[in-house]
Amino acid sequence: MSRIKILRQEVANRIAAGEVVERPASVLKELVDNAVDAGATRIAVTVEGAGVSLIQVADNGCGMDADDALQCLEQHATSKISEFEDLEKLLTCGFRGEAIPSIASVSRFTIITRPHDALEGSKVVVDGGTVREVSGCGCPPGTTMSVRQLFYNVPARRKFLRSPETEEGHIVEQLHLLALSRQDIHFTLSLDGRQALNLPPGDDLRQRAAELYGRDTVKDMLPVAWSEEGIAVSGLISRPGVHRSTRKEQRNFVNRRPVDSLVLSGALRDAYDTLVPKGRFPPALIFVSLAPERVDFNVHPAKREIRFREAPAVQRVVLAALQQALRGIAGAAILQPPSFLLPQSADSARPKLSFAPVSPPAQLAQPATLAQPATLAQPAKAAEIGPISQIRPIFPQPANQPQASPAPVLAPKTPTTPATPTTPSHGLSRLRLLGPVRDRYVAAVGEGGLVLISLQAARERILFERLLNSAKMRQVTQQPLLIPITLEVPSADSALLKRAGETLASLGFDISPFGGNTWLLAAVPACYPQENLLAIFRNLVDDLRDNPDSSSRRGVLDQPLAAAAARAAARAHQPLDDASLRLLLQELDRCELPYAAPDGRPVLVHLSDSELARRFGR
Amino acid sequence: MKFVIEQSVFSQGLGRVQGVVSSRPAIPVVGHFLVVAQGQHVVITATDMEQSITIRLPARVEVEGQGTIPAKKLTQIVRSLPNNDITVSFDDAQKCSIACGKSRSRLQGLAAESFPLERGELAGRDLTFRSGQFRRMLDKISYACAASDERAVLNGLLLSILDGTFTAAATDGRRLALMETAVDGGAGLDGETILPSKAVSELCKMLPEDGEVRMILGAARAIFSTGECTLRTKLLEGAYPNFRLVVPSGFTRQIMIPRQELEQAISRVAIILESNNPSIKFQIESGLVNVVSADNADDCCETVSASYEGDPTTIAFNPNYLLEALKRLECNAITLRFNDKVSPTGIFGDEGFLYVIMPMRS
Repeated sequence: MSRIKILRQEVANRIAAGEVVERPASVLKELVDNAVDAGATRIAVTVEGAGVSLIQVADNGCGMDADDALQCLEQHATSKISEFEDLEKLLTCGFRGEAIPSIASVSRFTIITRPHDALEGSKVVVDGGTVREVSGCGCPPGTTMSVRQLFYNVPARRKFLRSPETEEGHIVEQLHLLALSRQDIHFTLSLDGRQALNLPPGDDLRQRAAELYGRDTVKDMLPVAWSEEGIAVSGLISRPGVHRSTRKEQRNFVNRRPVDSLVLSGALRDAYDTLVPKGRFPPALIFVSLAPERVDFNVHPAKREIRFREAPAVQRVVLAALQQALRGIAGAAILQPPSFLLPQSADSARPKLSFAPVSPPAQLAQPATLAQPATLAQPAKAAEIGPISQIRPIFPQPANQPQASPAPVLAPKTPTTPATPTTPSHGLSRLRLLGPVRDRYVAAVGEGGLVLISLQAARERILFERLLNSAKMRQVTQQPLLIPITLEVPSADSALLKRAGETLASLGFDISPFGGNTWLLAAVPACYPQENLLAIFRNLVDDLRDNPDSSSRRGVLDQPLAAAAARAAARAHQPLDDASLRLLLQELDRCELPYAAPDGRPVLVHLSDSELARRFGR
Repeated sequence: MKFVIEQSVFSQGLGRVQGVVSSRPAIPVVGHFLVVAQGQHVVITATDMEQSITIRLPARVEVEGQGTIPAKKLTQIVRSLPNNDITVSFDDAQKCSIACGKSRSRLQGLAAESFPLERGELAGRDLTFRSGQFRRMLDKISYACAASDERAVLNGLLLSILDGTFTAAATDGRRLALMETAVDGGAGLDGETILPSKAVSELCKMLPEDGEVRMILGAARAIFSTGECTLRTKLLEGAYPNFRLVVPSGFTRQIMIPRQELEQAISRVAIILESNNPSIKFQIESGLVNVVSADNADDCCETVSASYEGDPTTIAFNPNYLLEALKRLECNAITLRFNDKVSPTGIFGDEGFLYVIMPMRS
């Protein structure tokens, strides 16, 4: 007898369940995905006992007849694709036909379903993968799937479940993701009989995010809207200065599917480089949509992992989108947070800016940034799941703009690294200066309230951008010193200088050994402060010692060293008279990203009128 | 003590000494003037413990004596009074009353004995200059002092005498400005003195166009006196960089350019420069120099006729460094002497003047 056998279906299902059904939250995801694919506009989720006792997902989607209800319990049975090529053009959440049989094999599973045009519904009861009952029943149109006693027949799995609180947390987070990805669907969640979420449908991301994470969190977030090379990016990202200790609040979606993608988190990291401190993560909701054939979801059964066909292009476009959002209106949003009106359209979602340029940056005004790739809006192959073809674009369309044309719409191509010399004003130069505060800060008044500026951080940012800009544009002009400065350093620091020397030279510094541990500073970049160079030189050596990263070329090009040089100079004494402070504001205003020092610490603190009023109890 | 003084005399006199008074005095009495009425004069002294200025003003003294008056308040009050006689008197409680016409102010003074007055003679090298000449000397170079450098001596101005040549020099490590003139007096005068820059600016205010200034340069202190004013100052200690090493021993090329035209050309082309690229270029050709600036997409060029014989060449400078020197000179034309575009360049103009600057490299 052959020793190699084909496994029984039940065994195969349980093995598959190991991958698909990791924990109750993954059951929820699979069931909700099915409901979404069925074209539901309302999905009610009921969870009891942290998902171990019951997970029930009731939708008003297309429903199934009795045959389909039985058929869907078979391995690899799906309505979503039929040919291999269909995988290339996926528009549905699911496609593998694995989830239902897997879940059914490790739980007591019930399907109650009725197509809209049928008079009677059907009920299928499955216990651990064995069909116990198939009967007719009365029920509303749509499908209700109930999963009871999850893992009752897999004790090992059950043992590995975390505490009920943890599992419930996962369920809620999972539903958050699903709700964010489909704002057009009405979601409700009931936890142990208590209604935990009720999310009416809408087309505005800000509104849904506010319902999930609170208005205060969301109101200061910046809208992202960008499209290039057929890749549309939208979402909400936190303003500079807001950051968390983990990546948990960075949620990425590709074609409305919550995903973990190094490509996207990498773009996010690069966009916030120098805007948040090292090891901190800005909260963000990023939605990427692109033609289905350009991305592969079929990497892992849980579909959290994805592969982009052109990962570098995606990363570049997403980075450009985020940079644009941060650069264009970030600062104005800091200085004047938008009043939180639940906006109806993308136009009103844009923060009301008091001292930002009256017209938003040109790219943002382009409706094309919101355009969907046509293929998503017109799913041809998905016709069998009727309602899906009516799915509206995920992204809010400005009310006054024509709908995206059927042909693939590409936004006007913009340079991905817009190192334009003329950056728009951030409104900082229009602040009314009050004066220095304790020689370390500057107080100023804007239309929206009081602004406090850290002198050190502001100078760091200004110098940092100056140094990098002139290095980037290959316009490094050096001012040699008439009397070079000598500095004797400990031998350990000598090694640091040796390592940093080449990069410092590319920035315009001329630092050379002068015998023993003495170093000679013979020239500095023209854009660098010229006063107090001995103190600055000493600060620079201290900085290299205190931040070993500076010379390890972690960052892009010469960034870390430019940051070190900027820090060194910013620490040296500088005048605080009105004229110099006003100049400082003007220079800060010219910066591309004037909101954080290169190490991510904030430059500005804004006390809005409303906050002042609140504090004074007015 | 009681004296009567003309408002304009009093106001001008206070204006010349009050610059010394610190806005945040270390001890209260340093924020006061010491006023001594004696014979036909009142003598007013202001100090910040480092420098002190004494001025002697003609007045009708009715009761001799001395007292202190809060400096800033007195200066402002006197400045605002009408041009009439002002009567200043002290009562026993050191309260000073300033009366002029119908106006009367009373300011609380402090014990005159507590005022840190530097008295006595100073031993040192003794020289006399024409006051106006010395002031112009300082004025043409003092901007080149460093403002707050860690190398404290650079924050001062050097007065050096060597072999009958008196040199005043200032450098912040990036450029050097010096003025030279001949002095009589032999080897006994040789030596170096570093004046703090605050003393230099007070000197410039104090020195009149006419008359002479006598200076006594001691080891740690110096005294400058004109007829009515005396400045006493502490000196900066330390070794001043050997500025003579910075001046190249010779130059191979030279160009002579009208000073005012050049100054105007530089200030015009520098308008477009942003602070991250403060550099202008001299494109030197036979008979002319093009002063050129470029910043991102903007550029400016202005041609100034000049006398130059030699190969065309280009040399870049920080316009601010040039302007600071040019606008203080008096000559009609300056001479730029240089060897190449990377080594120190000299600017010559007024008699005895030399400015050394490093060209920029790009």
